[in-house]
Amino acid sequence: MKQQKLLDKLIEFFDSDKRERRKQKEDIAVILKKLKNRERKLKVKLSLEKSKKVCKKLQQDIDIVYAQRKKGIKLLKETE
Amino acid sequence: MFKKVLLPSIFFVLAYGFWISPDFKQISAGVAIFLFGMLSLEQGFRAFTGGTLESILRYSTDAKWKSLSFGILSTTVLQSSSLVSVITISFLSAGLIDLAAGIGIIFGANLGTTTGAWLIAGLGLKVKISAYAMPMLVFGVLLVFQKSKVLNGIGYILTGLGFLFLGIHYMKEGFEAFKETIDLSGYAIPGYRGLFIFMLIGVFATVVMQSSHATLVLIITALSVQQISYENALALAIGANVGTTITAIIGSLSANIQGKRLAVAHLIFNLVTGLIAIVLIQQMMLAVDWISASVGIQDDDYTLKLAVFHTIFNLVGIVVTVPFINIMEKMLINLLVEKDSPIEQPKYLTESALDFAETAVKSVRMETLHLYENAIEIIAEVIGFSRDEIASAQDLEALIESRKKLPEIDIEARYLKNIKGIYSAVIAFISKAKFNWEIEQSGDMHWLRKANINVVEMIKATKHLQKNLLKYSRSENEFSRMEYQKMRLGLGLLLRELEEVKFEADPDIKLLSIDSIKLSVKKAEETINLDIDELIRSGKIMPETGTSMINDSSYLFEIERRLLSFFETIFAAPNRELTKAERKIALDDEEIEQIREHGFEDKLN
Repeated sequence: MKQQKLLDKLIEFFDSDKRERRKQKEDIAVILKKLKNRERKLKVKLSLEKSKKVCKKLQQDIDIVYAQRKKGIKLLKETE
Repeated sequence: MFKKVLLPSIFFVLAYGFWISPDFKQISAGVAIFLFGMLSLEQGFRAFTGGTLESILRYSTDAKWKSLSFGILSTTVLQSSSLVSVITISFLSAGLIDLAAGIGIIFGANLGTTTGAWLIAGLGLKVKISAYAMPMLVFGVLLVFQKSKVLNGIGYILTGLGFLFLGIHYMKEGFEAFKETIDLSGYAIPGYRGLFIFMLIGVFATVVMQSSHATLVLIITALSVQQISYENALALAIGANVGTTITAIIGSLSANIQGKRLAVAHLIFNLVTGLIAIVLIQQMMLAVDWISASVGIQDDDYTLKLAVFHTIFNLVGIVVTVPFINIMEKMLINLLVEKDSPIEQPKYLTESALDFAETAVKSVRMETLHLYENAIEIIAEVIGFSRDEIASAQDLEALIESRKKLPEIDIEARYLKNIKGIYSAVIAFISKAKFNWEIEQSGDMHWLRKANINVVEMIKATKHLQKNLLKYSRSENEFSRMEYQKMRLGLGLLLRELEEVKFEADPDIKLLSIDSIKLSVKKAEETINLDIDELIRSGKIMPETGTSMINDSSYLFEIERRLLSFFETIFAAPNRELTKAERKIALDDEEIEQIREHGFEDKLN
């Protein structure tokens, strides 16, 4: 098992494409986590907001973050 | 005049010296080889300044002790206080560190440079270093020919060290042979007279060689063969310390006001330190004897004692001056004031930053933001707001209502005063940037250039828009007046929204905030177009007014699009890899259009 792990690491070391893909996945995951946080904050803001105009704007922001997250998750799956 | 005569005179004196004494020739060749080694060493370390050194510098200067330690450590490792000074000046000019941090680094670098004396006295003279020089040169030169940036850098460092060792060897040999023909120690001058004369010689030698390290090695090798007396060697070391500031002053001539302030701080430090050393020379010598005895340095090992002295007097300088860093900072800011120019000049661009890719990119980024700030001030005024009102939470609609007449801003004059000088400097700076840089930094420069062009195009579009904004803000026709007021409000709100994103807490996802703004802009564009059509159709405005409105709305959309494009460059995350991921996740025009048309019903699983 240990040898297999070591071998995998060695292969990854020499395979720059694989290394790059892994890094890309990690970066997308970082951004997705941050977007999820943003979405949560926006939802809290929306629940407290009374002005209709501001509510509409906040809902739009939430929709956009949704779309971005959806795109990000799709990218993450494609990078597998 | 003096400058013109100086170099030929030095050539003549040296040539005459070489003619009458082959030993003098050998010593001078040693100095020349040593200096060449330093240049090579600097070149080698520059290969590693593509970001690593800069990021260390950024995170290690937020406290006084940290900047001091950074100065000490970096100079100890790099063995070149000039390289550390140049990096510090370029960082300071780029606005990435403040003056107090810069002063701290320079003070630390002064102490760091004393390690050179230890290395030369402790290692250089005790071990036969020329034996190490040869393999270093061979391996070094082989590596210099390698394409890899890292190997090439290591090659220059090895070659540099090889030449340094070889230089020391020649100087030592030269002095030993020289001793047999002429005994320089006969020229030793005791007392304060000797102190001053030798100090001046030290200053002169350092100014000519542009390196206190070279002067020190010369002093130490001469001292090791007793060609100069210990007291006179101390005076020479003090002189070398003062002389080295001349290099910093010359370096700061091309720097901006911050760089000049730092050079003056350096001069003050070295003058104060030199003065203390002269006044307290006897006490310092006693301290050197005591410390040397405590750490086991032989009483007659004058070269190591000189290294102790060099360290002590720089340390005393730091202890005395560090408490005054903040006062010195204030004094220098008041003393060296930026000249008030009729045409606003760049704040962050300096020639020295061009040598360090990462710093150069940061300088251009800062300057681009400076240009944007000036442009926003003009645009805000044209649509009837002040810069502060845009940044505040005031109701912009109410402000428009309260100020029906717009002020007439001379955009052409403002462009010449606040935009053109900076814009031209940024474009010139980017063109001077080297293209053998890392691909990322060249890419950044390309986008920043585009961002600057966007700012200027925004101003041009504002100028076109202004004509009718002024005309219709005074119009009798309520509908046309209202439509132009809507345009002003839309632009004002967009500027405010971008301002809010600018200060958003998480810099890693700033870029993604623009997607929602893009959607709002698209919706506003659609509303304006529909409004204009409706006004013309219902006969509420003349068709001629309608076509003017269509033209003006396209100027408005142009400003908005340029603003968004500008921010897409400027809001890039500090981490390049994360920016790449952000750009992949950001929605494209088609995706935003889809949301505008159909809303967003699909939820994530």
